[in-house]
Amino acid sequence: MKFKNSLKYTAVSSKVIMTIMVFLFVLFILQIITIEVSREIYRISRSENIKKEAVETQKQLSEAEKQLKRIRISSKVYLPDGTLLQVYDTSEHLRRYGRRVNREKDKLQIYDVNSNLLWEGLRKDNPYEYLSWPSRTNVHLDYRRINSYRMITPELSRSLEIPVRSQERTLEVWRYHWEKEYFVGYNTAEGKIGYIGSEGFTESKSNVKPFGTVKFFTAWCSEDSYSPMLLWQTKRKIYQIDFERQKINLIFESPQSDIKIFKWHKWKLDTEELSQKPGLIYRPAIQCQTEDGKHYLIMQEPEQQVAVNIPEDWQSDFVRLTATKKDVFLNYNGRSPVFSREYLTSPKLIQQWIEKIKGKPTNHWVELYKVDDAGNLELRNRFDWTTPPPKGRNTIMHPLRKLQWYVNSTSTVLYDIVWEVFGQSLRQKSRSSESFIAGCSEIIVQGRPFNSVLNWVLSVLMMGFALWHGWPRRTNLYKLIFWIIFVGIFNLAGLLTYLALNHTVVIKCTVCDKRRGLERIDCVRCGKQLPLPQRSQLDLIFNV
Amino acid sequence: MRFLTLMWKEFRESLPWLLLATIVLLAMGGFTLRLEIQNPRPDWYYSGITPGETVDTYRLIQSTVLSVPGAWLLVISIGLGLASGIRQFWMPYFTKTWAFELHRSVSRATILSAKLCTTLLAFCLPVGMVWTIFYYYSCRPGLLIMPPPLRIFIEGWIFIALGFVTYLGTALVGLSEARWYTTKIFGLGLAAIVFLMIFHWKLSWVFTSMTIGAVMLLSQIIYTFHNREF
Repeated sequence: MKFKNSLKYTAVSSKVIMTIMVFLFVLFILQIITIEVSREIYRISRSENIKKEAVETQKQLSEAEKQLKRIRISSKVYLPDGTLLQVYDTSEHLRRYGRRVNREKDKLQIYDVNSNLLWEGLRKDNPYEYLSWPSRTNVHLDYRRINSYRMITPELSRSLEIPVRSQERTLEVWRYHWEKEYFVGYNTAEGKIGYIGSEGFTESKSNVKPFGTVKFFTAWCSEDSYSPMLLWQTKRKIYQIDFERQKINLIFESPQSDIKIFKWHKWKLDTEELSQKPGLIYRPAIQCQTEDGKHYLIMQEPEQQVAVNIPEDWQSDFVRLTATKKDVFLNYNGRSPVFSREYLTSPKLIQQWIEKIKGKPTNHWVELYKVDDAGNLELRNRFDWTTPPPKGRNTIMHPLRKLQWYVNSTSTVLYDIVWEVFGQSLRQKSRSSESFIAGCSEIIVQGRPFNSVLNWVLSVLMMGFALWHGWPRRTNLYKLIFWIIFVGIFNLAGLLTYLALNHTVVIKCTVCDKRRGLERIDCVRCGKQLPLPQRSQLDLIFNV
Repeated sequence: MRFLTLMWKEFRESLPWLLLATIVLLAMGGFTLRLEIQNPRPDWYYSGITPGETVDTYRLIQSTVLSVPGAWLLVISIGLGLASGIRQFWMPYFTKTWAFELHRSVSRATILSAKLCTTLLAFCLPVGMVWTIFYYYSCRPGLLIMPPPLRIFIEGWIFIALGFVTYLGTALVGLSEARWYTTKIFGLGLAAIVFLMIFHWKLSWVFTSMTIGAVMLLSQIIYTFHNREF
């Protein structure tokens, strides 16, 4: 009996959960289709107008406005002596409106800080050599990509394999063990040769130490090798792994906080190659930013590490560092008021931000600092400009945003609650991989009803409908209350689930003449039982 | 004894589909596995890696020799799940033989468990055995530079389990009394959601989500089978 009861409860609750899950999923798909189709129609209808408006606006600008626009679009670059230049690409505005422009034929105009034209010509003839900064190449794998390869797919998961090669053939292959977090090496002739972990090469499995969760890596071959080397980032460490020589170098270890991002500059040259390139003015360097907003510059030639002391009010993401053979430079691009990521954690904060910047100009500045060995900054150059407040923006809601607001008002209020609790981490999760969890996070981020009044009104209306529908059909008052609350929480998906699982036929009660369900014998309104049919000949057979 | 007889009856009815699935998996999976082994990837695949160049990291990501047979295994498992579910729970409607099937001197629980056990064995023995043979064949010493990792073998069994979840979904659709345009199809909807949930890198997550999905479907199947009128 106990088993039967527990089976009943499990089966009924499973049915409810299954139905609501399917409805939530289907509803989200319909919402996305509606929004995307509308976006495409809007884009097609507006694209020509936008181009025309842009050309007309350009014609109407005064000289001062044109100059400000040029300043805004120009790249701000520095010469190795600290001089600041503005580089204006005359094709930039065309590129912004989707026109394809051949970069070889780009015409550049170079201005000084006082907007005096210093040089004009094709990009390839540019006589100035400005400071270059660390960057990431496009060919790297970050945490999101790595997870998508580790993931089970219809073609199973994939593995990371690093070859050690001669010019003609592969000699060894090192496979990364995703779970155990170390490399296992195989020789083409002899089979397994050993392991590479955080403490180096070992032949014994028991001695290998794991690297920790990999967050990012990039690979290159040195000038005399066909075997890739890796820059391998874990939570707090960056390693350089040379599989050919079976050598591990710990490049950087963050003492207090996880590594947020790292970029490199001229790093793939090793010491021998550097000595063959005497004209090179840079030192190989890695710029590393940690989650607590600190910046480190790790340099070679000679080996040196600098922890840079940046002011607390700076936006950490806009700091760049580079090292020449003479000096270490820091470039900061600032703006005020600045949009902080904390605003994204709640809709109220976003609204506060919109109110804060409404009708106000924005100050921009670029600064170049020299960094000493202790990480202290010395200002070398600064340039600033002010842009007026955007016309008409922030006051009228974009039509597509408005449509999304209406469409999402049928979503469950639970999305908003989850958003309020997890906020930014949910957004990051939705971007961090391509798994089912990321998909669910995406559903919450994209499908949330934005705490709109319309969502609440719809919920109340649907609860009212459920009450109207359920009252004559009710068999148990607690069950009815549960379903009304359920509909209130899940909105349209809840109502559909309620109807799918509870809709039954109603008849008019012969006594009170009101609607009543057939799930119970007595009428829910007047309490009278269903009338017995008139006695007839068949009763002799069935003995009713 | 009656239970075994019922199992034998179910097995006989599912045999054509079972044979078809095993032969297709053995033929297509074996053929593609053989092709993969005869054309070892590293030598030609890594030829684009040259000195002094930044390496395209996507080149370093490799699928194993079992990836194509794995894809066949997934398709065949799902296909076998659908075919078995339709054969066992839909066909009696079409042929109007539910009454004949249920009116025996055994309980409904015995009839249902005979159906479930037969399908479970059908997935584990023929299909699972072929996958195990593939894996052990590709691990033979000297055949490849690196044998496929054990995780690949487990992932194959996850695909087989997914086929069983599909079978449960199909069975629930067959047993549901709802109309086609309402919630009747939702059993397969849940199986589809479980299918999406296995796209994850943590095996613990995959096992948990599949178990929850299977329990949700199984509880509804047992409850419906015991309580509905056929």
